[in-house]
Amino acid sequence: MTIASNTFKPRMSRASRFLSAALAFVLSACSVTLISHYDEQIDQAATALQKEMDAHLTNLEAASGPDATFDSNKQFYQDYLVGLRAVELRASTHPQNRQSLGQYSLMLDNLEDLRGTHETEGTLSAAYISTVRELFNQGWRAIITLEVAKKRGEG
Amino acid sequence: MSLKIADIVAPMVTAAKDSLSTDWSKVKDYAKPEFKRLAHTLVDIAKLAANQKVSAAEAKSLLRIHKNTTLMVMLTVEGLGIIAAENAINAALKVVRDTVNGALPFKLL
Repeated sequence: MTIASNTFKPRMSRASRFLSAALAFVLSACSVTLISHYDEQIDQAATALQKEMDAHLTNLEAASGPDATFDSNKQFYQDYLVGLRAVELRASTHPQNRQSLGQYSLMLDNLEDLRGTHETEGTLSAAYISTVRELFNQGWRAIITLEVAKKRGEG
Repeated sequence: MSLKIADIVAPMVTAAKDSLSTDWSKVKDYAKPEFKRLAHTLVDIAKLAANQKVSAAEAKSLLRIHKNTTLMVMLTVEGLGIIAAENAINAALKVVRDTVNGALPFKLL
C-alpha cells in the first residue's frame, strides 16, 4: 500500500504540473483572433477609392454633351478597376478576412454594373447618377467601418 | 406607391437582431441607420422607375447595385458581431489570468 501510494503521488504531481503548464501556455500565449487585423494601407486605399468614385459621379452629373458619354469616361472605369483589384489582392493576403473579401467582390460587381450601364445607355440620367453615388458611398462606408473596427487598439 | 420604409427596415433589424442575439447591442449603432438608408434608397428607386426618371436599364442596374450594397452592409454587421464575440472571449481569458495570478505569490500567467 505504501509503495503503491508513493508511486502514485509523483505521477499525479507530474500530471498536475503538465496541466498547469498547459493552462499557463494557453492563457498567457493566446488571445483569440476570429477576424483579420487592421491594415492601414487598405483603410487609406478604400478611402481614396470612395473619394474617386464620388468625384467621378459628381463630375458626370455636371457634365453635358460629349464629356458625359461612356467613351469619354472609359479610361476612368479601367483605372478604377485596377485600383479596386489591388485593394482586393492586399485584403486576400490576410487570414480570416472572409467578410472584407466578400465586400470587395460585391464592389467589383457594382463597378461592372455601373460601367456596363454607362456603356449601353451612352449617357446616364441625373437621377441614376445621384442614386448610384449614394449606393457606392454606402458600400464604401460598410468596407471602411469594418476595416477600422479591426483596429482593436493596435492601429 | 405601396412600398414603405418602415416595412423594409423592421424585418432587416429583426433578422440582424435574431442572428446576433447579445452582440446586437454592439452593432446596432452602425446597423440601424444603414438599414434605414437602404430602405430610403429602395423607395427612391421604385419612385424613379414609376415616374420614368430613370430608364428601364438604369432601374434594373440600381436594383442590382442596391442588392449588392445591402449584402456589403450585412457583411459589416457580421464582422462587427465577430469582433464583439472576440472581445468577449479575450476579456474572459483576461479575468481568468488575473484571478490565477492574484491567487499566487508570483505571476504565473
